[in-house]
Amino acid sequence: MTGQSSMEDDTAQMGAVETREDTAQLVRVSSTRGDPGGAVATLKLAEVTKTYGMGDVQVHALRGVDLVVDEGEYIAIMGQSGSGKSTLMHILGCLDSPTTGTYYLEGRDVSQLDELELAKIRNRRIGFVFQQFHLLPRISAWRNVELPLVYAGVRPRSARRERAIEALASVGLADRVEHRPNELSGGQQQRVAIARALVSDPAIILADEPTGNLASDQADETLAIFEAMHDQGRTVVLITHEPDVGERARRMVRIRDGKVIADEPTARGTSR
Amino acid sequence: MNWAETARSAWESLIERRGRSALTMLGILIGITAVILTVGLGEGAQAKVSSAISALGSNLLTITPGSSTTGLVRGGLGSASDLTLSDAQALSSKLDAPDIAKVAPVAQSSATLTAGSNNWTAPITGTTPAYTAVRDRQVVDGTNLTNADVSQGNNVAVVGSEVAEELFGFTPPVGQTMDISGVPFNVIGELNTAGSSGASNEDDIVLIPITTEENLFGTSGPYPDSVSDIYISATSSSTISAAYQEADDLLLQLHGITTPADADFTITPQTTLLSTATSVSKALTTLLAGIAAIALLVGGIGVMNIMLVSVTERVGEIGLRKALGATPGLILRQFLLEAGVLGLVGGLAGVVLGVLGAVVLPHLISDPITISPVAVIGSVVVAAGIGLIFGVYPASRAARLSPIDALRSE
Repeated sequence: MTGQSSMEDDTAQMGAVETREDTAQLVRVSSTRGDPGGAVATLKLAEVTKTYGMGDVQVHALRGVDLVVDEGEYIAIMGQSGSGKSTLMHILGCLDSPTTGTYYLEGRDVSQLDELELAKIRNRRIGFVFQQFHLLPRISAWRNVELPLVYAGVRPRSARRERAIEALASVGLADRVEHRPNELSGGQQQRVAIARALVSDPAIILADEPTGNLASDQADETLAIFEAMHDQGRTVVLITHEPDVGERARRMVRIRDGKVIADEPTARGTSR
Repeated sequence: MNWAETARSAWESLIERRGRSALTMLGILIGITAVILTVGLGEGAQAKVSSAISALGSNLLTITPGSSTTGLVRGGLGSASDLTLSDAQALSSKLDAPDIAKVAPVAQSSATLTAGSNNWTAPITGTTPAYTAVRDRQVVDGTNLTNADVSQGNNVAVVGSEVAEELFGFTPPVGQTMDISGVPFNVIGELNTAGSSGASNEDDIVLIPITTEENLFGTSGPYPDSVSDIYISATSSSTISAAYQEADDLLLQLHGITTPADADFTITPQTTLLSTATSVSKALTTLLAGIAAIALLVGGIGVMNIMLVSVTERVGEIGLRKALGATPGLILRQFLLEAGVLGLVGGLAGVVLGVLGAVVLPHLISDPITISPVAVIGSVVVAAGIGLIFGVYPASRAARLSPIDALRSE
């Protein structure tokens, strides 16, 4: 049964993907940023499925997803909880691997990469923003922000501090450098997390419900930063269940029950 | 991420959980302290025994009556008084025994000494002037016994420092008079201070001519001129075995024994005594150190336990670090280092406490404790090593955590 339905989906999505090509070209042409990574940022999923659990109790989180995201796109992945959107984000972020199907990141088949190469990709190419911020509670804002640079081997410490402060300043937290997370508001904490995602100057930003724990004014501030990142030419993938958040992107992919059910430009996407 | 950064991160994490870290280190601390003190006690005892034994005279051979190879009818070691003054006389012959330097026959008894209002009970050693030379003692004040004293059976005595102090206080003993079992003796000399050798205190000693001793206490065996031991010294340390052979041959011949296995005496070189005593105290040290090592092992398991708790608690942190680009190797290194630091700091504290104990304890238990640098450095290395070894399992668990499981847990 699953096999049949995924076959249908595949055909449907293929069509959708083809119609997207034109827009992607437009975005690419209109991209004006100084390229931070050097390579073309492309996420491509081909018939990706993900099944959790063994034996009798199996959860089919993804049932065959095809998706192409081009460099510089601002895309929202919308779905209710349990739709498989978080699983999709984990696969896109190289935190998890597909059960079947292939994921190409910037043209490389991720399943062929070893643990070290994956760690390097997460470190240099992708910036993560989480719903719960995931800041280390005992260390100051700048120490949290410098973590990716520590793993990237940036030395000396003063250079990391300089870049961390720069990243904090870019999200409007220049005066909160030495504050610990518990001394900051939720919106400020999320901005620290965004600074951490930006500090290694990644080409791709993956945000999982970044506004889920924020009051609406703080959510607006956060989304404004994503807008700015998009303007810088980064590829931004925003995962959300809130339609008004999703509308801020240029393109919206809706998923339900582990399948893509719609993939179209948003109002902002078409007006551009 | 280099080692310095990992170490900083490990240190911060331990400080963050300082109460728990301190308790974990306590386990290592106790183990290391126990190891240092037991090994120190053992080495102290060993040093004490061997210095006491070599103080007896390094070229010394002790001849005791009785056989060491106990036959069916023969009694045990020292059970028979088969050594006599004439045996000692024969051993003194330069012709028959050229490698024997000095011979001192000894007859032992115990008696009450009285001087004025002071009483003291001490072992009385009847012997000849050669005693001091054979046992490596010096007469520091007055004179030694003389051959004339021995042949005439004079009532003269040379005393050890403890006897002198007990009987005469701070008055120099030489020239004083004391009673041995009610018989007055002139104190003609005082021996140097030698300390105790295991069971016997070498300063609690009274030397009198062997003839006087036999007049006073009678003989200690079946023969009229029986002696309890004969001490002989070899001419040098290289002739000990030659002296041993000469004494053995001579005594077998004198006693009319044809089979050496039937000998009714035993000759013990000092070196044998030394190695026996040393091996006994070594065995004891090993046993104690073994028990202490178990304490250390338990401390190590404590480290593993706390690291496992730490890994479980910090699943979210591990997941985040992985998402930010930490490799499994770096996560492994961080947790290993934390465990290693727990061990190392616990070990250092244990060394401090152990050295402190080595200073304080001897005042309470009157046993010396020797702290060797090898034991100190070794135990710090072992403590850190134990932290690392018991950190391997928790650290590898942390390194294997999948980033999504880790991130999801929060």
